[in-house]
Amino acid sequence: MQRWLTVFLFLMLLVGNATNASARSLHYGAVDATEVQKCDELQWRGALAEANNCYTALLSKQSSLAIQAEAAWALGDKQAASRLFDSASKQNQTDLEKSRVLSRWGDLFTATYQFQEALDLYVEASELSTDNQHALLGLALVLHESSNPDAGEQLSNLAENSSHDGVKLKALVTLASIQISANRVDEARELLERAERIADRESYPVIEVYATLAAHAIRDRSDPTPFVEKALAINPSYGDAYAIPAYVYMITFKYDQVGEFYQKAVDVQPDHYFAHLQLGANHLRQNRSSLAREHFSIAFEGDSFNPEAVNSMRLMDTYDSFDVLNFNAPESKSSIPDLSLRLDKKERDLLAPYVSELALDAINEFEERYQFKLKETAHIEVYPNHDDFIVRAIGMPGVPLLGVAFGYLVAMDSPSAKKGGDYHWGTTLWHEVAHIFTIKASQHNVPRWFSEGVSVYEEWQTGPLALESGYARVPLNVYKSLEEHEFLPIADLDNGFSRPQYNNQVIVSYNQAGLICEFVAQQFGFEALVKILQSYSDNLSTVEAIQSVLDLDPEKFDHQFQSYFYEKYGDNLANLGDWISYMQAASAARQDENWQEVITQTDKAIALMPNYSDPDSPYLLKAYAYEKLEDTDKRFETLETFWQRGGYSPTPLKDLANHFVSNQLESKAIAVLNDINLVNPYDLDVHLQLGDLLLEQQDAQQALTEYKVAMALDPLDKADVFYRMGAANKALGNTDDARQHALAALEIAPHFRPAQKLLMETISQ
Amino acid sequence: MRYSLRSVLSNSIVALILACISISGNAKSSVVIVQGLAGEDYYQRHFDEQVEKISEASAKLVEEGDLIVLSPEVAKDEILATLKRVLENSASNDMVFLYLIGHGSYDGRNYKFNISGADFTGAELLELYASAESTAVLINTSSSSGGLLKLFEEAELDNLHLVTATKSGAERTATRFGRHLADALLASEADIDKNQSISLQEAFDFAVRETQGFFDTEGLLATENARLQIGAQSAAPGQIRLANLVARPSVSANQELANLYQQRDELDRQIDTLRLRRINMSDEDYLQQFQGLMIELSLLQGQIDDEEGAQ
Repeated sequence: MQRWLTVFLFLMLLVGNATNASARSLHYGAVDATEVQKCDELQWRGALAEANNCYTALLSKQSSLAIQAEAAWALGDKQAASRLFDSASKQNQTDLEKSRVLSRWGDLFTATYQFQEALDLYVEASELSTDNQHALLGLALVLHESSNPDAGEQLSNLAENSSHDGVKLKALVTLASIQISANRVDEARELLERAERIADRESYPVIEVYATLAAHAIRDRSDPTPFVEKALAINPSYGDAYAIPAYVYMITFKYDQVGEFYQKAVDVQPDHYFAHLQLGANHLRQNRSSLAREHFSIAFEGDSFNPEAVNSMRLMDTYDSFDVLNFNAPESKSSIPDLSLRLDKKERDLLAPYVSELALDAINEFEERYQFKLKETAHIEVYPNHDDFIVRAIGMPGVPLLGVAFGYLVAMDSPSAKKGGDYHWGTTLWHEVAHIFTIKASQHNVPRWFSEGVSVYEEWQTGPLALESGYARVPLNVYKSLEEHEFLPIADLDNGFSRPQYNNQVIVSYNQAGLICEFVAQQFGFEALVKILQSYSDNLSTVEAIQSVLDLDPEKFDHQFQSYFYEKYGDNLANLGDWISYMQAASAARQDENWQEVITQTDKAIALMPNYSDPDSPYLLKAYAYEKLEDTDKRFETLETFWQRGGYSPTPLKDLANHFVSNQLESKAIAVLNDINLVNPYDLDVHLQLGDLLLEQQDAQQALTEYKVAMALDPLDKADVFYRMGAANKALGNTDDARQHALAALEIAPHFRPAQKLLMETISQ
Repeated sequence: MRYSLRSVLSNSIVALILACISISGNAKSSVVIVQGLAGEDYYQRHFDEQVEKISEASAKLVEEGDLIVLSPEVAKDEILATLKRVLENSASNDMVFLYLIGHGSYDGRNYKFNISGADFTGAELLELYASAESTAVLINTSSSSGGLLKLFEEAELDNLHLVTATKSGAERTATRFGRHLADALLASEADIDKNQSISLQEAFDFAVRETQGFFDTEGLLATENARLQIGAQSAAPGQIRLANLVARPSVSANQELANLYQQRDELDRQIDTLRLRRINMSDEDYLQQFQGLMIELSLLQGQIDDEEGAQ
């Protein structure tokens, strides 16, 4: 179930801040002191030296405390500004005046990422005076920053009803940004036109409107340059002219353009620390860690309030504990590596064999299926610390994410980052490698739903847990959600990832996308899926791609997909209630230790969904009941079915492997043990048992790999592992290596008889 | 895979030399096992199993009369008196092992082991070792057993090794360490140097690894962290044998086998000596000589196997 959580990356990207929050940004009339406005006018036109002189003059004691606070903030001294706002708020004044001071103080807290403090001040300010519309705006913007679903409604209310044009303008621009993120270009355009008219009429700065129009142009697949130039014509130092549209490139995976635009942002405005931070993150996405460190460092020095900057610097410090290993596919003739792994030194020897083999298999599979050959090395980073991985992915910890792909670079949680034994890291890796293909084959034009859809579909069709039937492993909670909610139309499916309207919608969208890919492949042939991917490289939209490849308009497509889904999976949906009842009855029978009843009830559940083999599957409960009844044959028959249907819980699978060994079914035991490694590669017994079986089956090379991994686990009994490595080397004809390993074992345990014998055999050869 | 055989060899030298030196053949070993109150069936079952395993392992190490098991009903005075008597009757080259299997408590100042009637305290226990001449090992597997560590440090008991299941008295949760330590005494997996016996160090390492493995597997924060404190004048923990996995065959009726054992002991000494000289040798010389000795040992072991097989 956890593997679905990869989707959250996109959610977070969309709600992230696209602007330079740390700076003293355009306030659209929140400050009414004409002295400050005069300085602001200079600042916003890029006359920086004059603006600085102007603000410096306002620091004089003759100015009011609120004006001094604005000046200190504009000159970069945020702590002094905060103290001054604090003092200003305590002076004798009208409620409206005090409210304005508080809301500007709140703006300062917003600019320093202290959202709760900002929120408290906005609330206090708005309670003091309902005339202070900027307090309500600040409140709505903080809610927007925090992804609060009420933000949109509050912003809309201000855009429509505010009596203050500046507030209305900012609300319109922010709403337009939201619509751009959601790919609703027509709605965004209309909002921006309204904003531009207000700015012209009321003489507010229009540069942010132009920058947002540039973002809109990118989303609308047209040239943003005219709008960028308009903004820069007004203020040549306005970094947001590039940074705001850069964000759209980021959420559409166009990392070359992201880098180009953020670089231009810092070129025109060297103190645009948010752009430095994003530029650093983008360099990291493109595996340029030195450049990333450089920009993170500038961002941190200039804006140490930003937790993303702090986290990114900490992440860079952890890079010293990683090693880079390069690999080529066995038949590769490439002069550059096909694959590069960045692994923590402590896990390097343990994970490298499995990650490299699976990743190279995936690359080979997808190159063939999607008729696209990777042109660069695929980089895969595996993080043993989940928080490091999350910071690497989105800059901030606390998100339940498992893997991300940025073009040729994949980052993911190591199996050691997850406790509990149900993290199938092999599937996560397979999923993320599929993203490399959809992103690169489409030249970074793939919409989110299609990239996720292909990755999910490939999990079901070709991944480590794929069944021959290609059974779609749709989680039960998706069926549960579909009892109350409908699938989104294909034209709107991206919003299921970025703007979910109910709790489980991201997961539902993920599965809907996978099912749509399955539908296309089954109804129109797999090549249709490939053609859709290729059509994205021609910059077609989803609607255009569907029309062009399948000759269907989106409404007909949606209709046919729904028919397909309900025909194929409708029974699962209809039977879900019964399935749950049977499992509840089985669970109750277990409590009563009524094992025969457990079997009866789990059998009923299995009959309804025989392919459901997640860790809460009825198979495991049924096998447990047979264990209690001491019916070994039935127990292992059940566990074998569980395994064949893609069950991957390590503990029962270990029992199954032992059962196979006991019954001389070594090949099956090897297959089961290999599967366990894709969930839990930290079990010493599994590696030793697998190595021994492989050695018996004359696969000494693979056996040696397993023994090496066993040694990487730092076993207590190293003599034993050295001996086994020696035996594998001997079987491979590496007599000298065998002798050295025998000696290594004997150094620890001189009386270790098998090692003594191995030594003698290697010497006599 | 990245490891260096050379570093493996050099890193293991000290521990292995110590592990291979055996306690004098004339020394006597005594074992006292004190089982505390369990409180509930679950712990009763586990404590019984631990005592059984430790008894079984110790029986292969000591003479019949030197293994004493005190059940949960035995009162404090009798426990302390028994231990006192065993310590007083032991000579300087003898070994005395005390196992405490049960629950402990710690009130911030005093550690107590839970038994019927009044509990005995850590201070009362350690006081008994003050005048002991023998080398002693105290293995306390109870909760809060780490409460003994400070007392141990203050008491300066140079002849005593102390093992506790917890790092402090504040680790109050019922422990798992004891069951793994008991397992170690019978487990060939714990016999790292493959000499068919389990040293104090091997048992401790095995139990620590298994305990940690439990918490890792369950995804739980470890509620116990075992400690091994070494008495300044005592033999190293690798030297101290807690259990024999197999009984050594009698050689009284087979002079040939006795001679072979003698030759093997001599070879063991040569191997130990070579290891001690290792630091002043080149890797090449060392490995060449080590291999030579191992070939001799392998051939000799082959003869021993044949002779033992013929018995």
